[in-house]
This record gives sequence, C-alpha cells and structure tokens, in this order.
Amino acid sequence: MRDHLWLTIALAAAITYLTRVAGFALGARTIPPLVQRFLRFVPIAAFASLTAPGLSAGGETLPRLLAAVAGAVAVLRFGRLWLCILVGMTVYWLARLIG
Amino acid sequence: MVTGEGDESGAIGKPTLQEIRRGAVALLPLWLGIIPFAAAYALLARTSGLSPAQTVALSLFVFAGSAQLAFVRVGQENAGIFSLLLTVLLLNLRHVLYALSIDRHLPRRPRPPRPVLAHFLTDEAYGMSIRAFMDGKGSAGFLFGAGLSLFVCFNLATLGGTLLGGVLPDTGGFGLEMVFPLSFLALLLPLLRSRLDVAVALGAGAAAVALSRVTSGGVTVLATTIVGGSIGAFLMERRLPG
Repeated sequence: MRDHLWLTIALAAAITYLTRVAGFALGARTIPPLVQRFLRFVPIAAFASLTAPGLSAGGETLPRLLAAVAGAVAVLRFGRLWLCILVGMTVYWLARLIG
Repeated sequence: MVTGEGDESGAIGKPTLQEIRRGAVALLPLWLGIIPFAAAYALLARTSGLSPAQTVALSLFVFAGSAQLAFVRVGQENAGIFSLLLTVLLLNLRHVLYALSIDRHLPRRPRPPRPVLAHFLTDEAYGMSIRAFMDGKGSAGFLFGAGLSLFVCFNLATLGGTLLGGVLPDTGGFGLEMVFPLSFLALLLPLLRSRLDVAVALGAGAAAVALSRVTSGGVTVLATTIVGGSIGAFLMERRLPG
C-alpha cells in the first residue's frame, strides 16, 4: 500500500462518495411502503446507535450516564441542542472531578 | 411530523443564503468535539507516515472521520489495498440509509444539486437536518449549510493539526468526544413519541453497545439501523401496540 498511497486515497474518496450519492440516486425512484416504514425508524435507530456506545466508553460509565441524564433533562425542558451539550459536559466534568 | 412520509416536500423553497446560514449555525456547538477529533486525526496520520498533503487530502476528499482513522491504522499495518478499501466501504455504507432517509424530504422541483449535497453528508449534518425537516424547518439549504459547517471546521482543524503538530495542547484527557453522544441524544429524545419508537431506540442502543466492542462505529450504526428499522417497520405493519 505504501507504494500506491495516492491511488489508495483516490479510491477511498471515490468509494466514500459513492456511498453518499447512492442513496440520493435510489431516492429518486418510488419507494415501496414497507421501505418507507423502515426509513421512518432510520433516524431513531441511528441516533440511538450513535449515542449509546459513547456513554459506556472509556471506563467511566457513571460520569457519562450522569451527563446524559442531565443533558436529557435540559433538552426535553428547553429543546436546545447546545444546552444539552453545555449541561451534559459540565456534569460530566464535575462527576469526573468528584469521582 | 414524524409520521409524515415526505409530505412537506413541496413547501420547501430553494436554498437561500439564509437557509445555508441556519444550517451552518445549527452545527456550531458540535465544533467543540470536531476540532480536537480532526486535529488528533492529523497527528495520527502524520506519525503513521502520511505526508502533510496526504493528511489534508483525506479530510478534503474522503471527509469521513472513522474511515480516515481506519485508513491510517490499517495503513500502519501495511495491509493490502483491497482490505483497506473494503473497510472504508463498510464504514461508510450507512450513508446510503441517511441519503435515502433525507431525500424524501428534499423538493422535487426545483431540484437541489444532490451530487453536491452528497459530499457533505455526515452523521452530524444528517442528524441536524433530518430533525429540522421533521420539525418543519428543514430545507436543502439547511442540509448544505450544516454539511459545509462541519466540512470547514473539520478541514481547518486537520490543517492546524498537520501544520502545528506537537505544538498543539493535548486535549485527549478532556473527554471532548462526549460532545457527540450528547448531541445525538438531544436529536433522539424528541423523536420518541410512541412505545414502538422507544422500543426501537432501546433495542438499537443496546445492540450498538454490544457491537461496538467488536467492530467500528460506522459498521455498528449500519447494522443496528438496518435491524432496528426492520423490526420497527415489521411491528408497525402488524399494528402491535405502538
């Protein structure tokens, strides 16, 4: 691979772009009802998968879970994403300091 | 709006500068996590033997954090090109689902330039934009702005990490990567409007925790989203309590 690094980078870029553009190309077709129902759950399942592993990582599950609970309360109460980050990170750092 | 099947498509105007700015601003809080991530990637890429130009090129043209990290790690092991490219493909396949999911909300006319939007599609831009669409505030311009915001931040931080290298403070101990799960938690919670939604989220989350111990993030999201989405669609069809 060392000898063909630029070629490999170009191929990786092409493959990544294809994965990004393919869904848009498929989306132009008529989507069957079953697939539409499937797509309804895509954000929910994807967001859950992008959240859960990060909360149990790094051998500090408790501070991360506390941060998630505090962030959840903040976003459900005020509906602002940045507030979830602000409150969550503050609690996370405090919990790490104390623990 | 969650149950809407792209019915708001016609209401969305063409991307205006204002829409683009809204998307870009919406992504600003995530810069806190993106900057250290991209800078750390650049350092890793440089120490693994990539040239400065190659380090920057990966961020510009691949623009997918997990695939770039895999590229650097697999490259260190001097594995074959084929296995490396297969890894890149698997890590990025989830984008197909994202594009399918968001395409239903984009207007048919005037048709936004999907080939351009595609390059800027990331977990974060997808997440912010699909939520905006569900809340009735989405647009092609918003999607582009959110994607561009991440792209600019990611590439500036890559450039910084590449040029400054070891001069940068090591932020690894601050746990700034926590910004990402917190962001997706904030995107997720308002979507949970039925028992079925909650069941799909809990199932996908639990499966993701288990899977993440044996595989990378991109593959985990792909697998759990396919399984979670299928189970959700199946149960919805059966009209079980939801």
